[in-house]
Amino acid sequence: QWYQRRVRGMKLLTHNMMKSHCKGVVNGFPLKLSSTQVEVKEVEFNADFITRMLERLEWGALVDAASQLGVADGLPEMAPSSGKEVDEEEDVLRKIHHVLLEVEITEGELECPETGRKFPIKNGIPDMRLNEDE
Amino acid sequence: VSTQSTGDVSEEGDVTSRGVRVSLTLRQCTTEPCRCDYPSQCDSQNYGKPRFSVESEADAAKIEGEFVSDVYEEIADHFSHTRHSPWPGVVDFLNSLPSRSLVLDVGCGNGKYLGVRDDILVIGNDNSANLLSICRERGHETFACNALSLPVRPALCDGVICIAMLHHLSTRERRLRCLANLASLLRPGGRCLVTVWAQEQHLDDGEIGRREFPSQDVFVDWQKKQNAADAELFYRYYHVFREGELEDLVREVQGVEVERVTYEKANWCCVFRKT
Repeated sequence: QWYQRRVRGMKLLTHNMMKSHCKGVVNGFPLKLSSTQVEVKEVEFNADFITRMLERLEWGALVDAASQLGVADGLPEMAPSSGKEVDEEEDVLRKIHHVLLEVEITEGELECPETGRKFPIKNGIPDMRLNEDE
Repeated sequence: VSTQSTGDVSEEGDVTSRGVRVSLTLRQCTTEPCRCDYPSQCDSQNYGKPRFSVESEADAAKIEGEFVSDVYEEIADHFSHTRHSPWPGVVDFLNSLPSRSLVLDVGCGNGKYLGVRDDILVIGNDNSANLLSICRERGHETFACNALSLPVRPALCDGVICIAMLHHLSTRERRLRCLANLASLLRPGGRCLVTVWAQEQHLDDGEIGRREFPSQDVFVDWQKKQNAADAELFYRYYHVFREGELEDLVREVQGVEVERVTYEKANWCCVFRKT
């Protein structure tokens, strides 16, 4: 089974997809990470999926988040080119796979970079719900 | 009726004295809830039901808070037990997406569709923390948020599903806003399936018009316990859609085109694609 269904927290792929939706925020990306408890698990590698995701990622934010969690070893500083003809070295793709899918944040906080509003991650589930006035 | 001690007056003006009148009223006592064919006039069927009245965004948010969000939090476990079989139409849609797709399930509930296919990555979101806990128990990745404001960068998804969720929004403008949000999630060529309850309840089994919701904005009750003794009653708000309504709404969203519209098990279903 490729994508194991024993997820216990927020993956860095998801973190890279998310931005703040506080009212009036111009650039709410990326959300700052703090107070994080992290679990690392094995997920079966699939080169196709990683290749498909490459051009959707904000690379700088991914490297920063991975560095913060201490899992950025071997991650290239610049985004690998993701044209259809390019055949990335498999071990680079595997490093990206590790960062995107094998690291899960089970507890912690996400913070809007503009307003400072904190969104808790509890039991692996980020709570992005806003109050009426936000 | 005023008492006429003098008598009845005929057309010609004659007065006839009144005799004794006997009036018989025949009543049938039922021991079950009323299921007469006149629900909008029936005191029994409407007894205790909330009234629908939305005149502002604040009203809309209040109805959706009290009669959607709060209710789902209360009934989460029981609700989840009754929602276990994936609908074939949704499964077909998920199967039509490319392998290794990235998909968002907006309003994922108990996560029924998050694990349908082995080779796509589906992330769920819902407004109910209790329902998301159930998703987590089943090993799915989710986050909590309201569908009217999705904290996700645009144009990342190959697919989006929004199953039985849009009908909980209480104004046309909010439903349109939600559809626009769904569209913004999609990459060019990405596809979305939306399903909503239909006002027409029996279009696909030969009993056309047999049962309809009395109006389009309705409160549907939910009994939390099985036995009547300690049953707790909740009302969920729905805007049920007429034929063509969902399609018309989708056509108002920029940058998408309708792929198909179907009626499946009393739901209107629309697939649209990001151009």
